[in-house]
Amino acid sequence: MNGRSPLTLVLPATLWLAVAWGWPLVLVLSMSFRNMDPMTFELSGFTLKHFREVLTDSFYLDAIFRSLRIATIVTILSCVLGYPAALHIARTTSQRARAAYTLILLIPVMISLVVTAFAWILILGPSGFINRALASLHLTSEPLQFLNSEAGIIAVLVYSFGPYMIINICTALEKIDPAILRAAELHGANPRRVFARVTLPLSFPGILSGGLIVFSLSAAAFVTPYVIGGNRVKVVPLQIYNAAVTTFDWPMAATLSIVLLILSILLTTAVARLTERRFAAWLGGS
Amino acid sequence: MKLSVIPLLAWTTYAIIVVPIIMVLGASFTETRFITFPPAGFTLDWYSAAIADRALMGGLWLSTTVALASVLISVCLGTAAALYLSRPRAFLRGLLSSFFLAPLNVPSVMTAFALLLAFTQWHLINWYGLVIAHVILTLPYIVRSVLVSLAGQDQSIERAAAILGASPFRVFWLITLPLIRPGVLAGATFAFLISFNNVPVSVFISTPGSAPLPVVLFNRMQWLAEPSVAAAAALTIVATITVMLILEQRFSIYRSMFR
Repeated sequence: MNGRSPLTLVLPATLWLAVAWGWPLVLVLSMSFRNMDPMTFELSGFTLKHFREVLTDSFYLDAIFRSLRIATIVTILSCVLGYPAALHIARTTSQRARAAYTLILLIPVMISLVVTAFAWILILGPSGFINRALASLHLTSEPLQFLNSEAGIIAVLVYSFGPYMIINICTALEKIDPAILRAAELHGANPRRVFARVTLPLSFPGILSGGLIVFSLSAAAFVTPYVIGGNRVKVVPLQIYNAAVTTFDWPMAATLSIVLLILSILLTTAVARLTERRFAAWLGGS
Repeated sequence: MKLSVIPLLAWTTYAIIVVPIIMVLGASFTETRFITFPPAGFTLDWYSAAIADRALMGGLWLSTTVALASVLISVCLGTAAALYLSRPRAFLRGLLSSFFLAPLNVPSVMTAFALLLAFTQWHLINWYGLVIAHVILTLPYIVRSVLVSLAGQDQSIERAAAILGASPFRVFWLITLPLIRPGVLAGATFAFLISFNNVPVSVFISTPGSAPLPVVLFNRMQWLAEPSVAAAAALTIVATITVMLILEQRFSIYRSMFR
């Protein structure tokens, strides 16, 4: 199969994606500029009013900031809570043990988001595990509200998407040449200093790539906010879902989708720029 | 000190991941009419209730057939595309590679809404629509895992076969395919799980009468969670972990999907 390059190999997949996915995305873009009659659902004309509404109405602005805030907290928590596990896996030499740990990490990734949310209702619910434990220890008189709150959503999003962070950090850690760590030790650095000055900076690319994945998945999530937040904590993806399937305000759902996409593109390019500059500085410095 | 703290924290993480899953499995055996953990008593009644539940079992059947059909299609499309993309000097290689991975980068809720818009127009809010949508979602994983396994291959074997007069198709069938089979199968298994457990996209493009199992669970979760939902959730957990173990045993998930 060498030599010639039969474009026919790549054509079916390209067409499939372009027609079944690319074209629908174009429809979303055009839908965001249309007027819709709320009674007859008829579309007409060209307007920028949905974008103006999203960028001025506090209902939508609040949701945008809430989404960004939740995604940021989830990303930071995933990094802080996930780092020890990433270090642990990277330092494990036994292939079997390492396979077992990765398999555990992949459970939240592979299990359906609905099932995950369901499991956490058992833990966080008003008659859930935590509240019953607190009550039996006489620490609380009435159940704490974890559901229908941002805190509950954040906890479950960290559970669902945190493994991506761990896997990315772990991949970065494995690329570190052990000789560098040994060199730092031989020059008298204690383990804490080796970690702070060598391991952590060298794992930075993993944190960035993992962070990007966790952030965009959390910012786009609506299943977890819907089930855990009881459709009460308004985040952008939830507003898209409600506009699309409950109120049938498709132009608004389209506009919010475009805003979400633009935010994620901006973030991705910013992080890519940042890494490039960082790497350039490091390479130039060494 | 450091040596003992990190394993401790890591094991805490593993425990936090596993415990909720065990709780769902445990809660499905409760004798009460509502879900609780730890379960009160032990009964398999909720499993028989789940099996007798037409919506749940219809959803399970739909999920399975959609996953099988979409994986079959995306394996064919994705393997061919990966064969093309593996050539270092292929036309538009960089652009096409990022195009095939793009569905992973666009917010899933936007993809879902876009498909709702288009499929409503095209009358595809049905089984076929779900399959078409799931091909979009699974294609990136297939392309990636086949590309990874192609990258590890010695191209001279293919060249030798071609020089000895084998047609391109014969070279593929007798040399390339056997070499990349682990990558294809690993990608396919992974893709099956992705499709089988998907909620965000499926929920937009399915109707109450014909919804995949995770969507049925999603809709039920809104009113109240009864133990038969726990039983159905437990079934999908067991099925998913079993497939993951097979995948790990045969191909090493980590090696084939994240390298």
